[in-house]
Amino acid sequence: MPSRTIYDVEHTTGGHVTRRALLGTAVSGLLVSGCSSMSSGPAAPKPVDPQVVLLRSLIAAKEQMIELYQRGTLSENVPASALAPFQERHAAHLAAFRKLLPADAAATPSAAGTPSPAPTSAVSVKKLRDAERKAAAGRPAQMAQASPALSQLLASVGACEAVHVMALGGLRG
Amino acid sequence: MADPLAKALAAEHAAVYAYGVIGAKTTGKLRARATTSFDAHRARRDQLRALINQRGVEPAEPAPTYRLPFEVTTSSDAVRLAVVVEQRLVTAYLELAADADAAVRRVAALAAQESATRAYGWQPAVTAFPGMPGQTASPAQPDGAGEETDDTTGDTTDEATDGTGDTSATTETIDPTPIASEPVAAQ
Repeated sequence: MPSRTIYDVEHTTGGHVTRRALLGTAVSGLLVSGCSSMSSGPAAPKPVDPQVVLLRSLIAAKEQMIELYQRGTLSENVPASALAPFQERHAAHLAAFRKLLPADAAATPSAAGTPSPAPTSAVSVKKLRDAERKAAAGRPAQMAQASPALSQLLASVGACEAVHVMALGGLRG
Repeated sequence: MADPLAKALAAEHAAVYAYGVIGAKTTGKLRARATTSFDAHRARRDQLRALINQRGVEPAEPAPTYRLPFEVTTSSDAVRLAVVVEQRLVTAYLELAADADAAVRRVAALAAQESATRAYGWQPAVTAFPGMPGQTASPAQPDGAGEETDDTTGDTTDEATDGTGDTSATTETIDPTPIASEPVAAQ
């Protein structure tokens, strides 16, 4: 009698998440919305896509998080190498968010990723942990406004941030 | 085929079953952690049942038994199984995170965070995108939250965090991106 393992996959359902499909769906959706708004004529003010607004805020927040980690590396109590993996994961989140932004929206000042000034003051691990906790706690509300694909991405990013809270608890400083 | 809500419930049913096994193969702090996790998954299971009921659908009952992805004979095996269970729940909840209902998305977000942190508690390793396929976990920080697993052999690090588990004890392939849990076929 055939039996199945506890976690056999239903390959044919197409229901599982793939990053390519996830991001591709979101990008195409945003591109379509961008194209349709282009045909509305130059005189009419183009309404800003709420997803673009959300993405810009997500990008800005991630940039702030990365900057916070850069300041964390100035702390004498924590070696920079210990924080580097955290920064790298946040950079990956930032790249994923930016990838979802339509090309025309990416050119706007708020989303251009202007380089931040060199960090000058150190922050503690506790502050980094608080920032991670706050970021993770905010994901459900952001997901309520997000496209399905962006919502999935935010759920994953929030899970990473929640793990960061735990992982930072193992550091001192 | 089952929608993401039903899939998440199936995954929670499987998790409840798996934690029964994990609890039986562990002692001390690990067993306490297994018990806490067991209770947490029962609560999520009941929450998902309620959400499914609200949609006018009868939620699926658990299967009488499940076939584990690998043989669990030691506490190290049990830890590895716990990591696999939690990682796959994160994937199930990511799928649910696309639901049209914001309240369901919230449940999915919180449950994904809980499972991801629970997986870290069992085995401290971090990925940038938990629950998404193709993720390679970074090793834990030197003295991270997984110290309670030190009564395991520690040999689970590479195997359990790649999302595939050890399939040598089964005759079927475990896909690295599974979502659904399937019971043993009716006897």
